[in-house]
Amino acid sequence: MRHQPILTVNNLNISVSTPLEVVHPVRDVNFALQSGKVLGIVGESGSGKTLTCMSLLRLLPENVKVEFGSINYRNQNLLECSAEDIRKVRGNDIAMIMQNPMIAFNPVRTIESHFIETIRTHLPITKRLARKVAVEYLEKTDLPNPKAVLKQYPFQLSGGMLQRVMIAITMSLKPSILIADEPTTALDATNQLQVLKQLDKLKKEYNTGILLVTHDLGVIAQLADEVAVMYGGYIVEKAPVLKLFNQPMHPYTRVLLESRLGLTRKKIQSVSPLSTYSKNNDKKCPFLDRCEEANHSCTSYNLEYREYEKDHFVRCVKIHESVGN
Amino acid sequence: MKLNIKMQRTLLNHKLMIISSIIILGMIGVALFASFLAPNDPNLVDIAQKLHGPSSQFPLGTDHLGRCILSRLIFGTQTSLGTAILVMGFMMIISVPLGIIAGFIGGKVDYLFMRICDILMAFPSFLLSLALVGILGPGLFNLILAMVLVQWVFYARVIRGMVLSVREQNYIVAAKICGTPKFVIIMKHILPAIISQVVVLVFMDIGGVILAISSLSFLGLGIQPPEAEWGMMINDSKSFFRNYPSLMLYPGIMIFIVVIAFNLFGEALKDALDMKRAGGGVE
Repeated sequence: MRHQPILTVNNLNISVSTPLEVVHPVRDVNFALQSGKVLGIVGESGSGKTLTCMSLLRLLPENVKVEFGSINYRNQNLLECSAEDIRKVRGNDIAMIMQNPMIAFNPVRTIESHFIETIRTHLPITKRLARKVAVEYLEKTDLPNPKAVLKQYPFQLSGGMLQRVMIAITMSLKPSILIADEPTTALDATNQLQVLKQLDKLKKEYNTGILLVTHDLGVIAQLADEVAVMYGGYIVEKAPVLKLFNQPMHPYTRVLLESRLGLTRKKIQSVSPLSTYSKNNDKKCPFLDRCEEANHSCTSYNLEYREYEKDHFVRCVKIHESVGN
Repeated sequence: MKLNIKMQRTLLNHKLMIISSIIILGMIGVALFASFLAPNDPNLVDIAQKLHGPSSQFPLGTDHLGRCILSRLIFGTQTSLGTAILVMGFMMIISVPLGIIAGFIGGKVDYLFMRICDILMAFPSFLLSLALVGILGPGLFNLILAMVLVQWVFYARVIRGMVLSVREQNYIVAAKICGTPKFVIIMKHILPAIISQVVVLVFMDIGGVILAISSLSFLGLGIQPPEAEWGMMINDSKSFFRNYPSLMLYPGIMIFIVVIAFNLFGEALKDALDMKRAGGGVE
């Protein structure tokens, strides 16, 4: 049974203007997020993952623009609502966890003041009550001695602790969507597990939809319900997690999975990722230069995004051909 | 070896800081208690006593109108420092908010702000203040107005630059992600991050402001007689320079001491607040 998604992104196109040219790091991105589900986005650096996330909160840098497309959250187009409306959505409805927790806190202010600032931005409560809420949610993240943690400065805590503090802050507002932009990249294995547990708890307890951006396939396998693989600004393949791992269709997904550590490991062909979208014209597959199966038909097709099986979308002309035959 | 040089630097810094702050505090004290410290009425004209040498009644002698020079120097501290502090204060009131707004909001607001700065900075600033005072007419209020109107752009631009470097910090992005309103971000994250640099800027430049006020007064455009002011005192005594050079020397020395004290204090403060050079520790 299919639920109504809380967040849908349609035909999202983002352009970056540089003094030399205008590049399009995100093209035709479509996805939907349902509450209580985790959508993983995987892809290499420069494939447009982070820009996609930032565009959801309308926090793109000045030279980056959303060309067209729509982002709908509960019948509200986030790209068109006023600055004040989007500010209220941030944190309260759509929260985000940043990649490096060590630099996401103001070094001269205590954990408590960060907590209180965020809570009181969205809820009309007193400082004392906010402090209580803070302790309550820090306890939920299994941090030892939450009251002492509140009095500490960010540099006194470890990266894993800070990441859990960040999760506690986001949890305290019970957002309906959480964007986790590489939440475990800066952490060691033990802390990664802790953080993933917290995310799982958040999903189960508050029915939060999580957009999990990472390049760690292990994290995806553990947490995601559905996976979108991005390459060169396109979502090249999207499928439920088991299907993607068992029957990858797109050549990029296949080499990505094969590149994991294992007995049958193959080396992925490397090309500077920047070249993938600056050279790319609209009629050429972005993965063409690195694809082992490419032939003449890959240079001119309309990059159609087709549902190959139920819920399994692929953007590759070879797949379309083989299915067509 | 390296540590040694560093330690020497810090010590030297410390000494400079102590000496300069003693001078500054002393000057402020003199300004505040001018009426108690001055041996005579600074504006009392007595032609019969004119151009006297030092005596027990007039410790530094009298000027061409028979006024006590020491008393005039003491009251001059009040006018010079007071005016400089007022000018600096007004400039900060204008340039801190504008610099922060331009730097933080960016985009078109910033562009407009920068063009206004470009226009104002295209003129030599002292000449522009001079012209403004010329149009508005001399006087304390017009002097302050002219200086503030012309010079705030420099400070606003520097402050904008400070904000730009803080704005890109990850914790500001994190605060935005949490939906913190702009005003709160400015008050809680941006202002505390730049305030120490602003204080250094103020102390580094207040000497220059004192010089500018004295220059304008020297030209007869600032503080009006009979009020005592150092620049004006130099101007008054320039016709007697050959026979009574000390008349010109005393206010000159005062200006020199105050300006150099503020400059050294600013320098020392800059080094002290520079965490990298101080060795990373913030006490």
